[in-house]
Amino acid sequence: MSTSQIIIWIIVAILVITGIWGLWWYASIRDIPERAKPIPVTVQKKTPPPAKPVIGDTSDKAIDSVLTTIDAQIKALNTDTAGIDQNLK
Amino acid sequence: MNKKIILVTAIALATFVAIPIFAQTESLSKIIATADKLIAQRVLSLNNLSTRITNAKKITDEQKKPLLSSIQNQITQLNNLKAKIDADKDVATAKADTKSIADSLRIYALIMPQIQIIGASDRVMATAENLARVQLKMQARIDVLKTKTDTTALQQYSDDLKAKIADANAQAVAAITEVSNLVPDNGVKTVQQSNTATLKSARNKLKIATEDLTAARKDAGNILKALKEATKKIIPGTTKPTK
Repeated sequence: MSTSQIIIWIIVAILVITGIWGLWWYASIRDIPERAKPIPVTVQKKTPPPAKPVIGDTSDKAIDSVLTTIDAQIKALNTDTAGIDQNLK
Repeated sequence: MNKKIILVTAIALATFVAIPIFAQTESLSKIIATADKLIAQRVLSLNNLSTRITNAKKITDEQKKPLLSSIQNQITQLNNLKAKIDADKDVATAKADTKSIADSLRIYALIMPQIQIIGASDRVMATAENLARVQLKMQARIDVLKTKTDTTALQQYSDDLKAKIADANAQAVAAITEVSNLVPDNGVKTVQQSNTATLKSARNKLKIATEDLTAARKDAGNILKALKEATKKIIPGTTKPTK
């Protein structure tokens, strides 16, 4: 087999392979429309972690400060309830 | 002589006619003054309550709206009643109108305690919120100490504190729900009795909530004291906080 014959066979093989691939590609977009559509991708939404309670400053001073506010609130609450009792007598 | 008799008789008749007229005028003006005073006291109290509800922290705007509207409605009715009483011409009408200040409007018997209970419940919830903040801070310090010392007693105090806060909140919410829909009795005795019973029940819930908060405050004091001592033992010579 001469060199020119080998080259011709190679060219023929390339053309045949390209033709088969072309037919396969055409069939894939024509006969199976589903495949042309984008495949929906479900993204799993992550549930945000529950908000951590704000603890803030845990020093004695910070706690004492809130406790002082609480003492005033309880005192005011006692005044509130005394007022209610007066009206409910 | 006859002239003297006629003159004396005329004076006597004039006195008999004038005294009752004068007495009625004086009585009417006194009734009006009393009514005005009663109305002014109620309007002042209602305005104070209105400010209190406006500044409430824990109840929602939706809850505030009908309360503020109810207060404003009562103030309008009182002002209308004042205008009517001021224009009254006879004692009987003025007396009847004055009586209606207490009977039909029920400011002190219903409206004020109702809104006072809601205001106090709001304060219970605000106090509970602060106690919850303190509980979180102290729990963080207890958690740090757990690896170094026995914190069983401290944890018990903290758990009790948390339970008391939850109960105080629940009582406050229940008290608000209980009194929110009460309406004036308009003289109907059964409605009046039912309103009073509901107000007293809500007041009792507030009493429990206040006791919860007082006990929770005591727990918080005990925890803080124990935390200070425990921290001193672990880190001698300091009460360094754990952050």
